[in-house]
Amino acid sequence: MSYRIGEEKLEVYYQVSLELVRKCGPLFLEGFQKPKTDYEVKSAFYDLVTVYDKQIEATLTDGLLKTFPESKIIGEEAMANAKTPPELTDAPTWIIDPIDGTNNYVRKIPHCCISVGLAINKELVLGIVYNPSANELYSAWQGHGAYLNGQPIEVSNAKKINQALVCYEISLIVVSKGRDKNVKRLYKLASSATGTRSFGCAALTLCYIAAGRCDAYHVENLKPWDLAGGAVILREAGGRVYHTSGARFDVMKPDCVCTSSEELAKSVIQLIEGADQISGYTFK
Amino acid sequence: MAASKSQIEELYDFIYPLAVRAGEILLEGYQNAGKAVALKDGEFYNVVTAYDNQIEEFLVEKILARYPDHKFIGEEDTHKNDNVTKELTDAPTWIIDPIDGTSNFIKQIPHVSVSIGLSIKKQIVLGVVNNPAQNKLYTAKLGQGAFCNGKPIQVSSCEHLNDANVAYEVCLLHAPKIRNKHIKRIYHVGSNARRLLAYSAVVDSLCMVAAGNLDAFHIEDMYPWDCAAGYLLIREAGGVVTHPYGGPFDIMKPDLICAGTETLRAEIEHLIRKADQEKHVGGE
Repeated sequence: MSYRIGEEKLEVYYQVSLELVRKCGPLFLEGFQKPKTDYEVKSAFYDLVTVYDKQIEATLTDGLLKTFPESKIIGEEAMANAKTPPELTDAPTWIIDPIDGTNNYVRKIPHCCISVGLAINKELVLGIVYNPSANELYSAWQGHGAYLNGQPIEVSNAKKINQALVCYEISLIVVSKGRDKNVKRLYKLASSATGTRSFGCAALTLCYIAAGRCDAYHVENLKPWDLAGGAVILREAGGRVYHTSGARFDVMKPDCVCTSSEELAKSVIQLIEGADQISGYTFK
Repeated sequence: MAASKSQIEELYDFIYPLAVRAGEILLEGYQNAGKAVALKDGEFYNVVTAYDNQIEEFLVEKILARYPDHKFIGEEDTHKNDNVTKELTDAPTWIIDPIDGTSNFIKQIPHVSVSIGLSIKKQIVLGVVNNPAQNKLYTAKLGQGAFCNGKPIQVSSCEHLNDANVAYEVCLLHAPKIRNKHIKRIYHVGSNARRLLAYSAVVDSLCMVAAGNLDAFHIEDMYPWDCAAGYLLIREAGGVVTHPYGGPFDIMKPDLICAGTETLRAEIEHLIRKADQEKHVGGE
């Protein structure tokens, strides 16, 4: 069965979710501003969670299901103990990361945010990314542009890699599987770009491209909730979101290349292909 | 003999309001420059240079009016001296970076600072850093602790790289002559760190170590004005700063590892030495 969602219904989804996310701001800041924020380690030593992640997710989930009982939820913390990967159906599905950048959050580094994406018929149609620590609320819904604190935002006009500020999750080098791949790709991209950053928060990085602050981003092995909200915002700002291979982006397996323009996406994809051909590394 | 406490106090009281004003000038540029997304490459440089010069000239003019015999070492100052950095003498010498993080400045990425260090008899006695984008003014006087917005700051107590947030200047991969050195170091440090982050802002990264947001930072191939103020902030916040191979820090050739603890610093030094012994990266 396919869901037919009209423009008016979509706007209701937008207004209600926007208000819910905004209401989580004070709770988010409570944890961010605490002198010391306690955390637990999840599946790996680099994977952290706080009580605020859980409380914010519960607030969002309860609020959304109360107003939209027909919808489904894919949330980071709800999925934390799941034995099977989440499945995306045609039903309206909220894809939630209560705190993207938890590692930054516990250390009071202002690159952390609440991220909410909505998919209907397996297509992403709405995104909200809120960083209370920088007082930045990014939002977008399909066909209506992207906004930062209510003001329209647009990607940069960077089309060449040597003009581009590229973002990369260097931390992924810590994972031994894929380490060489990440080092080679970083090497290739950073050698060619005018600048390279690593902020440790995927959702915000997509929003920084949407706002024209950065121009390109490549990341793999993340989760749907890391990318869902930001991907809509970036597209509505005029940017491009592809699978790493250049194929269509799949939010449920979100290996991606995200850029300000089509031309830049092609360049990044070519550089990645070149990186993957590099042999002769002796790091082991 | 080093500067007296009362002399340091007088110089601090003098420079503090100037650092505040310099931050206001920087913030004005930060907020306006971001609007010029369509600027051509050359024009970006012109905008940055204009603010760089304005801030440096403001500071130099005020300092010379009060202390006509003081000396200066800075990025724009060096540029005016045919790109030859002056020698550091015993004379009171202000080591100034009017805008650290110029590529962030142009893009409204909030890692941007005015950095002012003061050396007397070749010892750094004052460090003042203003990051107006994050509303953070860091201050340190020799022997009297480090502060952010008037509140004491302290480095983290992290002792193991597995638990550490580490920053690295990944943009250095853009420079062919030093690319291989840095990719090997990134590989080894990144393989063990919980998070490897990159902000392209040396001054702000040093301040983040002083404040305990980051646990460590390694930088090489940078300049005295990038490190003078931040060095003192870290020392006064209880951290350690050494040459990458463990020797004394030299402000005029400021290659460094800084960390909240000696144990963590030593672990990073070990990995850097190991990286430097590796063969060059293959391919290309």
